[in-house]
Amino acid sequence: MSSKFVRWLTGENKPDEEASKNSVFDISPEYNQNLFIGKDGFEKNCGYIRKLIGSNADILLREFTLASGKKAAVLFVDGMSSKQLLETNVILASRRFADFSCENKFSPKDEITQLFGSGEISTEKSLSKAYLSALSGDAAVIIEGESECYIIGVRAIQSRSVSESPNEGSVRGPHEAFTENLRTNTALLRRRLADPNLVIEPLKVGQRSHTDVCICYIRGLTNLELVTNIRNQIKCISTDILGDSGKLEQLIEGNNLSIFPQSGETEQTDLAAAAISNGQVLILVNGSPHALILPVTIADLLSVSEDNYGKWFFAGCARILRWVCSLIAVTAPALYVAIISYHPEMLPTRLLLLTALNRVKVPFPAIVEVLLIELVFEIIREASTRMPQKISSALSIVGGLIIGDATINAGLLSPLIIIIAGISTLSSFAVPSYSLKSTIRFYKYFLILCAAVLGIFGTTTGFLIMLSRFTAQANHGVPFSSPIAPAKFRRMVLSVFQAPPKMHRIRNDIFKPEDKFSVGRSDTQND
Amino acid sequence: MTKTDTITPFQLFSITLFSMLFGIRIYPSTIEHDIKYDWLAAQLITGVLIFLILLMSVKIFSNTDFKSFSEAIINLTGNIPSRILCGFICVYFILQSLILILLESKNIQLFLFDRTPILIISSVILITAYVLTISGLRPLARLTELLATPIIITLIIMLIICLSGSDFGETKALFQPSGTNMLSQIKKAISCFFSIEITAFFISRATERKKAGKALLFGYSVCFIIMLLLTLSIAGTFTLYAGSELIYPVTELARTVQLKYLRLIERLDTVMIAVSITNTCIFTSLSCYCASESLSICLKPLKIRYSIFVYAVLFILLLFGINAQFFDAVAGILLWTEAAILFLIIPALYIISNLKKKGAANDSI
Repeated sequence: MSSKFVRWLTGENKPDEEASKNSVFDISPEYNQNLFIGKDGFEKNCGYIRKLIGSNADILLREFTLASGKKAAVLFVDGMSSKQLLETNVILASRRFADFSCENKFSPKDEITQLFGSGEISTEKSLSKAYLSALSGDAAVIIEGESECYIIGVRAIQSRSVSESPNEGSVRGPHEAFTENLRTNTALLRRRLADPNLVIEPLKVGQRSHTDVCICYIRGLTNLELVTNIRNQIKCISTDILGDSGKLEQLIEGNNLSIFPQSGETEQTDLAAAAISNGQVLILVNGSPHALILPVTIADLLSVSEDNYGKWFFAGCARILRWVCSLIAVTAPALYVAIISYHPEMLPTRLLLLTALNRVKVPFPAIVEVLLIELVFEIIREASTRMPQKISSALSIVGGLIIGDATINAGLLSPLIIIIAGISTLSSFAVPSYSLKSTIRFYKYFLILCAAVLGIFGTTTGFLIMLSRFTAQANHGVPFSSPIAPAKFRRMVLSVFQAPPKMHRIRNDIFKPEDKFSVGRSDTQND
Repeated sequence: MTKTDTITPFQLFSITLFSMLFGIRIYPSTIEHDIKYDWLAAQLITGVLIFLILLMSVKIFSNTDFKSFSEAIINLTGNIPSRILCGFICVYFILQSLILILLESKNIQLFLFDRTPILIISSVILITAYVLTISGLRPLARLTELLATPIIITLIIMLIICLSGSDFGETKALFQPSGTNMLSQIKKAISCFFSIEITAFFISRATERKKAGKALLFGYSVCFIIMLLLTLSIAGTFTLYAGSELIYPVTELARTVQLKYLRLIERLDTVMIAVSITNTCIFTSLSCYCASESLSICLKPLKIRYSIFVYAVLFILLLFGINAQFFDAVAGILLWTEAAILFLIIPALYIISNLKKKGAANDSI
């Protein structure tokens, strides 16, 4: 039923002919056009490229003559390719062409390949694909009489420099984070994992954006079936534009109607490297500083990179605290509504009297009170996210202190609910994963409504429904609730309570890694 | 059976716990004024008998490759008898769920919402139970696994509190032999093992059958020991007579026991009711799962989702409501049906499977 609903919602059943009518590049008869050869081949190639360029001002096709007298043209995008590299590696190098060919030691193709002084060079028979490569920042060189054109790596796209992640802070451990540039990100990753088996596999997604996507894993460690599944899922994606890894995450989700996150995301390079060495697959998307981690479990989403660097005991305590915080964030407001509205007898007498005293002036029932304060918190959260950082701190003061104080003085809300909502919101901030925070927020409101309707009974049934969805979630065959359910006691100790690093000898078998031992067998260690 | 319907041994242990939790909560109330003598002996005899029955059900599946209880019934009894038997089992499980939902709804109404109609409370339980099974058995088994640890911890805390506060002089009467009424006491004891046959349904679903068999027997033994100890300690806390008057002794105990360091949770009854709600929802899911599995064999040609049908029937039955007399009659029928499943069907299947195994061995020779 759900898949039908999704198909109906996405309009997948409708023929997509109309949509494709507007497409220019993909369905044109010249698509995947090979290089024209023979008489006037060079002119035809240039003509074809010019037709593709149309009225674009930033895409340039510069023609020049080689020292041998042959005509050549270089296609590049102004601003995406380094002009200096183009000068030295293509234009200046082409002047040496005649001398080079005189030596006659190499085949013509090898001569040209060695002529261009770039480390990154490949050949392409298809003019269309060469054009696409140029759109990615490379230079495409067409030479008269050649049946292939040369793609030379001269990319120099302006991007943000490597800096600290604004969303994932840590006291101890590396601070460097991914940027929007894919090559920078792969370099950062390879620097952390100098493993010769590290595979960074390129793919393209987006019929119009042709966004570069990389699947990163370690050959001989990561389960190949998992890699194949993810690769196939990405290849099957049909979308116009892939702007960020967040969209990719949604496009490869197994269950679109699930509220729980189906992949992890990180900006921290060390966390990404740790995930790969754990047997998970990392996906990098060009233009996105967020790397996706697949598959993911609740334990992964509640751990931070700092857990690996601090003293294991304190890191373990912090991790347990995060688990408790996620529970408080979900249940605290709902329990308040249930107890105040239906079961005040649950409170000890003194606390009950204090609560009653505080709520004497409040004109609203507990549910309205909770929804009001949660709405205020949501507005503050949303406003502070959208506003400039300098103003957002002032906004927090205005929202949190002034409005809070004024509402209590006006008797609209009781101080107790401010405390409860404050604790709940603070607890949700202790959860490191943004997507998990959103899930927690959703279930918080769900439980509040259940509590408002049927008190503790409603809260219990609502909580059970939440837990059933939590345990039903599986990503690429890995249960999201692992290692709690299915229970793996050893893994639970290691990942939930954080054991000493020396105990982390065996990799998390939930990801079915091909190499099960992370630091070798204990006997070899002792030797 | 689909791929999503397999469970691990620990999950089978958790299912056993949840199947017996209702029994654990009402078990101490089985001590009645007139049959208090030989009570312990009757409980022990019944407990050992049921252990043997469970052992037989484990053996049925270790002897064969059957992937479900229904498949075992089809293969061992034939097409028509298996359909009749499965239909009978399906009705039994539907009625069992109905009785438990109504009982718990009354309890919730009594303790929490005295003005809310029972139908609304029952419907919420039913909807929750349906949501729990909507993704198959595996998520449900994981849920039981997730909740098993807190429940075991709660039970252990209860036991420690009870045992520390009990006066065992009060329980002496339970150990005095009289030599009378043993059969009626055994009959009473069987009713306390209400729904234990559910576990036999799930052995076939376990991934590692040998381990699963052990987990099932271990789970059963643990629950049985907790039952006995809780009963003794409740009898010691409330006195034998007062203990037998309680509707939900463990809940009452939680409310009554007030230790100084437990001031913050002195209103434990609501918490205990939350545990009982959890148990009811999970139990209903498990029971309806067994019912829909049996129904799938009984009405094989029908191309519908059997679980929806089972829940729909349950809802219709809830709409009609049940008066006290009918309730007692159904409870009586259920007791005999449970006894039939435990002491007739499972041993018969065990014998047939053994005979077939020997026959197959002879053929191969």
